[in-house]
Amino acid sequence: MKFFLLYVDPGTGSFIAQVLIAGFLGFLFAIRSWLYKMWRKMRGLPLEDDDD
Amino acid sequence: MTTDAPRHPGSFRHPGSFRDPAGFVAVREDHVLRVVLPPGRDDYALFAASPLAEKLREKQLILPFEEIPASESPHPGAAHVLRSPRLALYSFPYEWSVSQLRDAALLTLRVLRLALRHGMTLKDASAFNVSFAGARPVFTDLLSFTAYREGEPWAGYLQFCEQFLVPLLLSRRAGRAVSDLLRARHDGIPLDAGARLLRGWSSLRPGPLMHVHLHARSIRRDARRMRREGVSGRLAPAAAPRQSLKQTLALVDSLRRTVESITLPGGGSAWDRYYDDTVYSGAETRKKEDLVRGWIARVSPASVWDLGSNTGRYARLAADAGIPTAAFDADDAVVDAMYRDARERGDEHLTPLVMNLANPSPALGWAHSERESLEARGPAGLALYLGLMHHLRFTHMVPLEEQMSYLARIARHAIVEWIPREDVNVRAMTEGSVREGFAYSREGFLSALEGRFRVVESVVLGESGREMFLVSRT
Repeated sequence: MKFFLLYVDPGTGSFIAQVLIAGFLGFLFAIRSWLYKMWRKMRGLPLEDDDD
Repeated sequence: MTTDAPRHPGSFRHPGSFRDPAGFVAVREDHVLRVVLPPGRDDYALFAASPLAEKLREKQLILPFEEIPASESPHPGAAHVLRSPRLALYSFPYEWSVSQLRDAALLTLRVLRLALRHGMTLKDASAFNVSFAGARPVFTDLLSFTAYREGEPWAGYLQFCEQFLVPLLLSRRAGRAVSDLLRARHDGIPLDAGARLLRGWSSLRPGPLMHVHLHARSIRRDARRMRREGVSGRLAPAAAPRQSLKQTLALVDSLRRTVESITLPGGGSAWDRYYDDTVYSGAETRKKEDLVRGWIARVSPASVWDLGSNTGRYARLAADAGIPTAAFDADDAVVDAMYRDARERGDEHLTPLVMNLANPSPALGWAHSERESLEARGPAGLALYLGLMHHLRFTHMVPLEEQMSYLARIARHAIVEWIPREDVNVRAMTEGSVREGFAYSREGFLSALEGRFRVVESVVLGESGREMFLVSRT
């Protein structure tokens, strides 16, 4: 039950939207990273990691 | 946030700090205490032990803090007590220009991203978690950090959209009016209302489409479902939606890109529009500057409020002297230009803010105690009251007596400029209108000072007849 005991309660509607949107964006990101990796691989460049 | 003596006798806790069960804030004379209560103990321990706290400090994204013995808190049952320096003036989102709100939004996302990278997250996205130290936004709410649990969506998403994203998107259309909206709705602009106001162009761009329009639609749909099914319509925890850390990071990056893509209306022109001072000769302006600089040094105040700063020429004299200075102007575009300039220069002391002295920030929130009025955040050590009196007299019809009475409530000392009726700017406001009949005289001004301020020094600037007064509260 802990899941819903949040300090601010945005409600289920917002959560559902967020999960769908984040899922879609995560999918786009995965494709983009994959393409990027392929592109670097083809040119024989080392792979980098991102941080802040 | 005035003095060590709480304005609500007997209370140690800041009266507006009651929402978070994890702890509360207490404001002392020169520092702020954050008292962590047992429900917040584990989260704080995790935060303090992780490299996150150090990183945030290093990057100056939060105010420095140190833990002091819990026994120093008069509050029984404190798990931890954290002490941070107190900012000279805590500003609120409805006092920020569009660029300031944008930078505060980006700061929140940056802090969140760093937290997520260290196994933590932010449990909310209140714009009130951010304030300005000079021209630099800082994240102030150390109790906002909580452990990240695998699979959980970000609890602050809706709040971020309502307090940052919607106001920023609206600012493209409404400009200044957005801070007025935020003043009326200090918890943010409801997403549903935001989606309606933003209908049209913005729904064609991916960021607003997802985070505002689809988001609002999902909330509406869920509200209908709840009405139909009652409490049983609430999702069971087992069925709760899950999202991976990567997906959350992708969401945060999308919010960042959306915020970054919001370009500001107008911009630079504000600099050219202003400078009332053009009626002065160059020599008079220099004299005024030297005078203000000298008087600031003489009073040596702990804080300066420039109550009608325009582009901040005189406020900067105080800031350059290392004094925390707030530069107020009613014009959002002018404040925005001043802020961007100060931010670029890395100004540590100047905080430009949107404030119309004819209608200063009121006390807001529960029992008028959550967000303090401008007056309650004073008094300032020194106020600059330059080129302001005639504006308030003739545009807002505030008698000089009223003006000096309010000034005495918000400042200990003041530098006041008297501009005679014959001045070209005053004539432009009054001639041929009913305002010509308004009481406005040097004698009236001096009598308005009586009983409130004593004149320490006065200097006539030159041909224009303008006169500068250094006054101190009696």
